[in-house]
Amino acid sequence: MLEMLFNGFADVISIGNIGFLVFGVMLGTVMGAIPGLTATMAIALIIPMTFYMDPVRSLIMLIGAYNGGIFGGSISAILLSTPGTPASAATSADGFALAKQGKAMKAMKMALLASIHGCLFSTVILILVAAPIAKFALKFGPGEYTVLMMFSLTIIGSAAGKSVVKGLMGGALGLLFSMVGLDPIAGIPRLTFSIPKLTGGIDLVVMLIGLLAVSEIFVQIEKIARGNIHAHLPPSATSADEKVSLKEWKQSYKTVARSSVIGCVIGALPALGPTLAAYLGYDMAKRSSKHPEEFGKGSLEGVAASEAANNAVCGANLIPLLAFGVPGDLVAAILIGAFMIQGITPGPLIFREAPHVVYGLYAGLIVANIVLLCITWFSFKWFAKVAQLSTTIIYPVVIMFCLVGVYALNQSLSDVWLMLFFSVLGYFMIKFDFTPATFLIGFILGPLFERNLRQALLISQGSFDIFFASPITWFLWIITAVSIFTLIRRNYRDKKTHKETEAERLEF
Amino acid sequence: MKKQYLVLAFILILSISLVFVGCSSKQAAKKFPSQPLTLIVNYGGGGSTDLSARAIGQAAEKILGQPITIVNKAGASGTTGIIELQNSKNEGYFLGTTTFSPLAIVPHTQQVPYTPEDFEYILGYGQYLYGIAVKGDSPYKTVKDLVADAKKKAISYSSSGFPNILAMIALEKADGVKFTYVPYASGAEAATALLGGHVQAVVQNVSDIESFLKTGEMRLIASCSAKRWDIAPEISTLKEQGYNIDITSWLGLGVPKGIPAENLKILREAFKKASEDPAYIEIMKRIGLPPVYLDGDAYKKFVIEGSVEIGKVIKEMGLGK
Repeated sequence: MLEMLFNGFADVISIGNIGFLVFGVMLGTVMGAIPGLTATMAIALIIPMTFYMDPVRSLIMLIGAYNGGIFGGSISAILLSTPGTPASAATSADGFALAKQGKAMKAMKMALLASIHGCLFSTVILILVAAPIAKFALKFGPGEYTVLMMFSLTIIGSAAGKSVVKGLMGGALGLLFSMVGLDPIAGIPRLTFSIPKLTGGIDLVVMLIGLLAVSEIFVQIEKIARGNIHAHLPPSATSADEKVSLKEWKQSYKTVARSSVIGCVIGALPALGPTLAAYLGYDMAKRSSKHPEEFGKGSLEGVAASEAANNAVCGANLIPLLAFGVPGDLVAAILIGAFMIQGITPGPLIFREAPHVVYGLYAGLIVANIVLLCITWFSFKWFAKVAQLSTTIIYPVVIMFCLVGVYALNQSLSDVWLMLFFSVLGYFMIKFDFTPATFLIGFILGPLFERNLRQALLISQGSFDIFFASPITWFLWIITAVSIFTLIRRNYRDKKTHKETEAERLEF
Repeated sequence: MKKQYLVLAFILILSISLVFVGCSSKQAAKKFPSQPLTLIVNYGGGGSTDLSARAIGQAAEKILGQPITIVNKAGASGTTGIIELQNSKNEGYFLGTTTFSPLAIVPHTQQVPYTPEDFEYILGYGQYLYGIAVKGDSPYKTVKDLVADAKKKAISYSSSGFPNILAMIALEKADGVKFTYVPYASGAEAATALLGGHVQAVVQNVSDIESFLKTGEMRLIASCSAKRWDIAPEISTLKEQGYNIDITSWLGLGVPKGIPAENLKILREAFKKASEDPAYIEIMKRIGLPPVYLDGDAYKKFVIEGSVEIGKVIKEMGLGK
């Protein structure tokens, strides 16, 4: 196998291939960074180019674009508080808070390092144990997924910020909105109010840009109108604010490692996606951190956690793709198309029919990460400069990108109206101290939870036994229970400390 | 201060000139096509419909002398893209993948605002075959085995929706058994559900199943189409096994009706030539869609007659809307 891997590297490292890889990475990063344009779009743009290229070259270009795109989203999340891709939604709270403290470069560097670590880690796992992991992933049927989704719903609690109740309300609202569209099992439209556009459901990116990006901009604009802020971000106070020190990296390493594993697991299970991985990683990090109160206010660990997890999905996504031809998310689905154009069918035969392509892909992933690291490390200064422009320039431009980008998704003006609706909704949510991120989590989990729940009940002929049928489900129930328990305990403790500080204040 | 006014004036002039960009004289004077065309694909990027459309589009670009932009409008079993095409201008610059299923099958089970008569067709260029497969190590060797077991216990099967499930429903009606249908979002997911042992059978296209047939992880027990599968010629069709059902889906290109006859003729000739392009044929073979050709009028006839046929079947099965 090692020999094949070396051959893979030999295939990949040619001037032409590296050139296209760099192009793919740059395109992906730029499109991921611009709110409104996404990694998926970058890939869709590149696909026609790959028709007449050789398989290794076209695939590594696409992988490079995907990787770049997922990372690129964190740039705008940190600098503008507007996630460029859904996967970076979890990074925006802490990332932007750090940027406001003048630590934008530090945050971006940490995001980059964590992302690279996540992807390299999952690539190694992919190379070494793809087949056994894929086989294990097969055991996850609708019953197992349902319990996994229940566990994931508990992270709404910790994404909630100050009020868990408000967080749950936000999550429930997200669940509600996720049901707009066709019933996943019966195909009957619901909550569409006879509007044909809504039969397709609400696009995640449209909702995300409106709820998390544009609404945040509205809030910022309001603050500026009250005369608070002039320049967009303060420049870094010390040069230490521009770097990630070895000490900081070591402190966050446990989080990065754990998030990388989480990203791998979520990526290997088809249909889950990097956004869920990011939030799970973030949540796990918050629970085991020594400074959980910092999360949401500028925790470097938080940035590391979500970025490591979402990029780890990049490599792990390929596990179900190569093993069964099942895509982990939309981008992987497009990758299947790219494979097929080259005459290669992703699936169990690919290791026999075209092993050199597979190993070229592995080598390409590793090289893509290195390329991403090199290119971005040196361009950070420029990104940071952008962020220091005056807000009168930045916000209108960002809003323009959001509008155009959302329109570009489906060439649909109604998407734009939908986005504006969500931005107003998000604005009011923020004003009333709700956390829009909880809505996002509910929105993502809704369809996953519902579809798997109903599929499971169909298979079990209506019996709930299926949710306790396998060791996997038992394990998932246990961690769900632990998660709820720690949530309640933290809430209780927070209330106690809150009461104590109130009491102290009153005694004065 | 003066500089600001100059800049403002400059911008004003530029903006005004934009107005003139939009105006162009009626295209009738120039030869069709005199501007780029748009091809609306009614399924998502990367899928076989999308890839085949891109392939034939690229081949036709050279013949028509104008670029063809692919636009994906996926959703609602392929009907979203068809509706989009119906609402497009009918001069001939908008075409779309008018695939068989959303035109002929889906309208019998859900409300759609179009009928096959709302379009003119350019050609039919690809065929999808369907089949029933079970796990390689399962005890079912034939459809009869599966049906027999269904009488004793609950058997479930996975698929991505219409028209696949019509095959199983035909079995149910003919043999008096009930299967549990577990819907999945895509063919690939339906196939993995079978591999994981969560369901006992899967009904999908050739491309979703063929690699697993080759490795032996799955076993085909019937072809649901009128033809046997090229890669499994020893497996008979459901028709041969005595069931009155044939599910074959077709890929075709169409335009909204009302297109000037001259333009339709030009499109038909161009795409016919495109379908003979060797690079296109190569790509089609690679994505598992051996190229076939049905001219525009024959395709229309096929869709309309097919719709009536399937309509009868669906009504018999009690699935009508």
